[in-house]
Amino acid sequence: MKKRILCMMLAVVGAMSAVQADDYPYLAFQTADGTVKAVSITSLTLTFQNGALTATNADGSYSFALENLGKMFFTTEPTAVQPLPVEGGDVEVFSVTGISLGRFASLQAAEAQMPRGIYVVKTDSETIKLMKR
Amino acid sequence: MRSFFVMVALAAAVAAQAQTLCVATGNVTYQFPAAQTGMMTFVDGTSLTILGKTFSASDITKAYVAETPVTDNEVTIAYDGSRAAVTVAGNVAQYVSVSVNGAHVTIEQTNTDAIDGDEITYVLSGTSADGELTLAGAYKCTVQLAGLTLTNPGGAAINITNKKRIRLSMKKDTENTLADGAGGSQKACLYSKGQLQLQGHGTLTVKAATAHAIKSGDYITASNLTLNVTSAVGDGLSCNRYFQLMSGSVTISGTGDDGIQCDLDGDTSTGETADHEDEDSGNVYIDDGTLTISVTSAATKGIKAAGDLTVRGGIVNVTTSGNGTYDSEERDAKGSAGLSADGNMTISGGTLTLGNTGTGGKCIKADGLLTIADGTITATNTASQYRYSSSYTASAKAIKAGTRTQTGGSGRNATYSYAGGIVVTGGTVTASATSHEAIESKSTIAISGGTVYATSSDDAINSASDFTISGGFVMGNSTGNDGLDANGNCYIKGGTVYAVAARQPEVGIDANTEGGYKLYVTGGTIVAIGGLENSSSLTQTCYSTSSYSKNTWYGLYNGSTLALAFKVPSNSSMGTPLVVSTSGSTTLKSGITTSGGTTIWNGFGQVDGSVSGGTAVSLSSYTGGNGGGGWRPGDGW
Repeated sequence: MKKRILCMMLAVVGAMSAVQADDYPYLAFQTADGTVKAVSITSLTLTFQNGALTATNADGSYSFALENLGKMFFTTEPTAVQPLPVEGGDVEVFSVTGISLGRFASLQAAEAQMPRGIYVVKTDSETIKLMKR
Repeated sequence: MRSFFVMVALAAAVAAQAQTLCVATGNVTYQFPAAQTGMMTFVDGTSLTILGKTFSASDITKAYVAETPVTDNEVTIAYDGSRAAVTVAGNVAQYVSVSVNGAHVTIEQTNTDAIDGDEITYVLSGTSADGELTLAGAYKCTVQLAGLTLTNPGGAAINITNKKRIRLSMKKDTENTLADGAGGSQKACLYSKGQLQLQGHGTLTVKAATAHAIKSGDYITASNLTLNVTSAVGDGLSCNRYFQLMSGSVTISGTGDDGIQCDLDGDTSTGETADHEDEDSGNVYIDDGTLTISVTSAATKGIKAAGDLTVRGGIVNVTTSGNGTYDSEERDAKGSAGLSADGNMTISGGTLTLGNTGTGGKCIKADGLLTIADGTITATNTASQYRYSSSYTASAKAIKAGTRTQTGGSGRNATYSYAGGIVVTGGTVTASATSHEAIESKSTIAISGGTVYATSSDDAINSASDFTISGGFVMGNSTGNDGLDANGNCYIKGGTVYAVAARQPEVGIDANTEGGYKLYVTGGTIVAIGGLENSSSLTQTCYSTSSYSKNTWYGLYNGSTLALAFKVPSNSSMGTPLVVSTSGSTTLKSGITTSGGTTIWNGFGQVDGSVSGGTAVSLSSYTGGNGGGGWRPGDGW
């Protein structure tokens, strides 16, 4: 009985650790031209000085001109997959290998149709990489 | 199995410590859990918006990501000497504007509805000798004190201008102290413009050097917490609408004014409403808990209710020692009072111990109707009269209720209207006064149950109008006047009555014969030392003996049944004869020995016990006729 309980405990701890691992190890910065740079959040500090945002972590420092920065978001992907934006309008969805998976009336419609995974989505204004959880 | 749950909880706690983006602007840090932030946007290179909170980039002194747990809806304020550090949970950041100057923290809360289904909680901790919290807003919130010692030399320690309901909660097992400085303009050391609910299982001590200790512009309720007001220039607790003590312990001393004062907010009372919804009554409710109040200033009140005062349970200890004073606004002499109600007072439970030593003071004073249905009340007044002039005096009584208003005439021909009075249906009342009536009604008295013992050098119990006893156990023991005195008619219809008067012209049971009124005896078990009033109507047969022995137990029998065992006091002045009456065949024994049963009337009576021995007392028929103190000018309040 004790072994059973111990196993259950380990399973729960393991499950919770898995949850922890699913958190956001990266903070991504997207500039106005659509470029996205993700940095590790380990020991990450952000400073705002002289019109620039400087992100410093164990890997080094990355500086972004504030006037060029558009968005910032936490992500699980070092390649900086963005969370799904909320804008409407037609979109075309591609696999990460470039195969078109179809056109949809909106991002939300695409999200409803696609299984979990990483996609490249082309909207009227931009092409972005998205992940459906 | 227990360790399994502990491990689960530990794992959950670890998981809760997910990444948090902390954005600091000076001493204020906004904490945004990574899972909540979504898209954070920059605008024009000058601002950053996270979860609806927009920061000017130039205001951000530091930003970092840390494994910091965040409790949604929580704002923490940690005082540390001359500085304070504030953290704001990300989900409420857009609704909270904070400014910090040293340890003086000002917060404006802008939400007008619940956030994520809950209100904002402000958690205060630490110590500062020069700090404060000023909190503005338009939606209810909770302020939790979690080990806080906060003094503001220049104003209120906590000043809440939010008019909505405020929960002020003491974190369990924490000690919290608030103090302010002298000479300020603040209304209280702890001020809330809105409804103030004091609660929690911790302790709050308040010291106020300018005005009240705690003031609410709305109602105040208190539950569970231990609240100590140790000093205040004004009241200990001051509020409008109503005050309610539900549980916990409240101790108030060192005040310059009343212990607890509750006023009407508007002009018209709603009276008590269901669940106190929208109530504006000026009422005070003591439902349970322990309330200890000591006030010492002139003519101050332990509890002062502009409306009704209701005690349903708990332990209430109030002492007043301030002398009387002349109120130039009302042009009257005023004394202190332990419990004071401009309206009615109802006691239906609890243990009340009330004492007064200030001239002209009273233990209980109700302008309306005092109803005692249950509980144990001990009211002791050892003070003398306050005399401002021959026209303006205040008498020191244990219990006083009702009002009498002169409607015409003067002197013996004066006519009056009466309101309120005293009704006793249960409970145990012990009232003593050194100089004036122990129990006085400016209107009527009706006793139908309970046990009442009153002793005084003046009338033990006096009513300005009719006095009716139909049940219960009532003893009036006067060392210098009448035992029971009615300035109107006196009706003895039932119950057990023991009246002791001083020597003539005083009588055991008096009515205002001179004013055209009468004593009516139609029932009851009666013992009256000093006899009965002249021209009494004695439907029930009475008997008398001209002699009796002090400090001796007597047995009064109705047929073969012991109706009452009573002891004759040893007062220096005691009248004659000793009159007895029962509803049946009345006999009396002297020198009995009592055992068992319950002692009542401060040891002068015994019920439900047994007696033995004794010698039969020779009784004569009695038809009344002992004169009496008769009509007297009414004493001042």
